[in-house]
Amino acid sequence: MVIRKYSRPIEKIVYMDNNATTRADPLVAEVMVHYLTEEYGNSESVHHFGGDLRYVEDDARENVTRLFNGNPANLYFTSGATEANNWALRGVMKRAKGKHIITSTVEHPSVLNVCKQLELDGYQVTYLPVTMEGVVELDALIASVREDTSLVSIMYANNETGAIMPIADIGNYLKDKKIIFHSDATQALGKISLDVVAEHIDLLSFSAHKFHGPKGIGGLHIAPRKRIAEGAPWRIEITPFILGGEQQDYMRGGTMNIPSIAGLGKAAELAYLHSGDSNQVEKLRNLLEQSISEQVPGVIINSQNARRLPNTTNIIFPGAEGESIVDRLSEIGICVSTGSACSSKSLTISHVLDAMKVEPSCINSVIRFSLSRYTSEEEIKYVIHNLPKIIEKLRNYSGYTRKRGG
Amino acid sequence: MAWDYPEKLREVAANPRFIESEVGLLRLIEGDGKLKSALASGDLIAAKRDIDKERTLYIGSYGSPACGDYMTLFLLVNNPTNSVEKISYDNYGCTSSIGASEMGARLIDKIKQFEGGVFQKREEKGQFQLEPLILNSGILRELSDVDESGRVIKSVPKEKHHCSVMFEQALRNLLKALTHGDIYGSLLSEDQKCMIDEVDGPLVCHCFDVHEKTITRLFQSIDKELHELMARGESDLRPDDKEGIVKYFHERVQESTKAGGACGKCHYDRSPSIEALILREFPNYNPKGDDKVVVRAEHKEEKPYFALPFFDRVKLIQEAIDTFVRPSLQRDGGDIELVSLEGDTVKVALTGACATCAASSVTMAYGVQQILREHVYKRLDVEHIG
Ligand SMILES: Cc1ncc(COP(=O)(O)O)c(C=O)c1O
Repeated sequence: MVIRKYSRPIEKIVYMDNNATTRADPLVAEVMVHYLTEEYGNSESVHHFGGDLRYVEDDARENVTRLFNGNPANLYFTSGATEANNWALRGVMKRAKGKHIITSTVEHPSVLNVCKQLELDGYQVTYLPVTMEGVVELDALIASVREDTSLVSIMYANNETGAIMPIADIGNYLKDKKIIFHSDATQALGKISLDVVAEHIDLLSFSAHKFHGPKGIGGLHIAPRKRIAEGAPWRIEITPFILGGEQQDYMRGGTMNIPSIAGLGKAAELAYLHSGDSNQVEKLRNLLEQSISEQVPGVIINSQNARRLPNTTNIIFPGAEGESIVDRLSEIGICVSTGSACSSKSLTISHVLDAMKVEPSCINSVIRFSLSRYTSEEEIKYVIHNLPKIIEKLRNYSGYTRKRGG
Repeated sequence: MAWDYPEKLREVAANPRFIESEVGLLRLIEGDGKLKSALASGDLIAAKRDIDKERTLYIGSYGSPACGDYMTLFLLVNNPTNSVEKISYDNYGCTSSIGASEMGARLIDKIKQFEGGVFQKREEKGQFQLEPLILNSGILRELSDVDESGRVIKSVPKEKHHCSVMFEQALRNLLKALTHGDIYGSLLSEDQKCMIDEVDGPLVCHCFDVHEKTITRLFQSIDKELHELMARGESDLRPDDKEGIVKYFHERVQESTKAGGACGKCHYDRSPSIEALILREFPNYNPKGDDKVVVRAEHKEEKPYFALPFFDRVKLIQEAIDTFVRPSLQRDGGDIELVSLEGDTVKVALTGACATCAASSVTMAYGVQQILREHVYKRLDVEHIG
C-alpha cells in the first residue's frame, strides 16, 4: 500500500479537532514499532520470548490506572471506548435483576445506540435531559431512580461541548445503592484529573487515541465490588462481551494487542507527565474564545458557564452554515468539526445541541474547536486571522448581516 | 465526513458573483417593511413587486436555517422585453448549496429570456402550470468536472443532491408569485394552500417541507437509473424484489430531497407515505398473482406489509397466527397469544400446555418466526415472553 496524501494539497495543518482524535506522540509510535518488529511475541505463549511480554501489559495497566486512581488488576483492554461501552451496558444488564437503566440524552452513540437496542430487548431506559449548559442534573437523576434500576451510565465529559457532568455527586449518591455506576470517560481521561475511588465510579471506559495514543485500543476498568454501608461488600457482576480464549481472565477474548497496549501505556505515562500542560491549553482556548467574541459579532459560546474540558470550545456563528465554515477553514489547513446536519450522512442535527435546546436556527451554525498540548499560540493566531473573514463572507451570502441591519 | 467535491463546484462556490448583499436588488423596494421583515424571519415563500411601469421584482424562498439550509432568489424582470435584467440570491448552506445557487444564477444570467427561458407555461387539464426550465439536474451537470471530450470525470456527491436542489425549489416558489402574488408561510390563504397543493401536490415530509410532486418528479430518473444498473448487472436487486426496489427508490428520494430523513413519520404513518407513492407510481413493480402471500391476498389494497398502518400490520400477523400456528398448538392442548408488535419484533406468549415447557417456548418462537417471515414479512422477529 502506498500512503495516500490528502486529496487536496495543503501546506499547513492547524489541527483543532482533538476531540475526534489526536496525533500519537512520536514516543508512542516508537515503542509500538519496537513491539511490532522486535519483541513481537504472543504474551500468552509459554516460551520466554512471548510469555515475558506480560510485563508490557502490567506496565500499561500501571500507567493507565494512575490517571484515574484505579487498580491495575481491574483494568481490561478493549478495542476502544465503543467496545468498552457496549461491554459495560450489555455485560451488566445481562446479569442485573432490575431491568431499568438511567443514562442521558447527550451520551455518545456507543452508549445511546446500545440503550436503544436494550430497549428492544425488553429493558427500560430513562434518558435524562440536560440543562441549557448541557449538564445532567443530580436531582433529575435521583427523581428517576426506581426500585428496579440496575445501572446508571453518565459520561464524564461531553465530546461536543466539553461540559463536565457532576460525576462525583452522582457517584456519592449511588455509592451505597445496589446500582452500578458506569461512566464513559473517553473525553476526560488525560485532560483532567479523575478518581474512580473518590468519585465512586464502578465502571469506566476510555480510548487511547483521545490522548495521543494509538487508535483501536482502550479499556474498561471494573471495580470488583461495592461497599454498601452495612453488610458484606456487594459484588459487581458483569458478563464478558467478546468471547474467545483465556486472555484477560476469560473476560475479553482475543490475542493481546501488545504493540497497541504498549502505545496506550506510553501515552498514559506521557499524559501523566504533561498533566500540568492543561493550564496552558486552557489559556489558549480562552484566548481563542475571547478573540473570536471580540472580532465576530453575535457569536454564542455553548456550555460557557458549565465546568468544561480545558481544550474544548463549541461556538455558534449565526448566519453562517457549519459545513461551509468547516470546508472553507479546511481549504487553509484548519481542522475543526461541526454539528451541522449537512455534514452528517444521516442529515440529522446534533443530538447534544438539540438536547440543550439550542435555537433551531443556530443549530446548523456550530463549530467545535478542540485543542491539545501540541496547539501553539501561533496556531490560535492563524485561526483568528482567518476565521472572521470567512464568517463575514458567509454571512454576506446568507444576507444575515443585511437582515440584522449591519 | 469530508465530501469529495468537483473542482468546478469548489471554484464556483468560492467566487460567487450574484450575492444579493452585493447586487442590491432589495434596495429597489427599500421602504417595504412587511416584505423585509418576512424575509428576515424566513416567512416569505414568494413575492412580486412592480418597481416601475416596465420592471417587476420576483422573489422566491425555500428551506430554513433550522433545517440546515435556505435560499432566496431575486429576479428583476423587464416585462416588455421578457428578459431578466438582474439576478441575485441569499444562501445559507453548505458548499454544494452555495455552488448550486451560484450556478443557477449564472445560467439564468446567460439565458436572460424569462418566459420560455427560465420557465415555460404548460397546460394541464385546462389549467396553466409554470414549470422551471433551470433544473437541479442541469445545475449538477454544470458543476461537474469534465475532461477535454466533455465526459464527466467527477460529479457532485449523491448525498449532496438535496443541498443543490435548493435552487430549483426556490425558483419553483418564485414562479408561484406570477400566478398568486405574495405568499407568506404563516399566512397562507386557503386559496394559496390549494394552489400549492395543485402545483406541488400534498405535503408528504413535514420536516423538510417536501410535497408529493417533488417526490414523484424524481421517480422517472431513479427508475431509469435502476434499470441501467440492473441491465449492467451492477445491482443485486431483481425485478420481483418489490421490497428491495421500494427501499432503493426511497433511499434515492431521501438523498435528493431529504424527505423522510428526520422524524421518519412520512414512511408509514402519513398519507400518502413515500412508500405508498412509489408503489402507486410503479404498479408494474408489483408482482402479479403472487400466490405465496396467502394472507395478504385477502386485502383489497395490494400494499406490502411494511407500508401498512400499524393496526393493519397487527391484523395481518394475527391472521397468520390464527391460520398457521394456533390450530396445531390447540391440538396439543396449548395456545398462543399475540402480546405486542414493537417495530419488527412480534411478542407472543404461549399458554396452556405449552406454557410450562421451557424448552418448547424457544423452539416455538423460532417456528412462529419462520411462519410469520414466510407469510407476512421477512424481517419479523418473534420473541416469547413468559
Ligand atoms: C465520549 C465518547 N465516547 C466514546 C467514543 C468512542 O471511542 P472509540 O471510537 O475510540 O471507540 C468517543 C469518540 O468518538 C467519545 O467521544
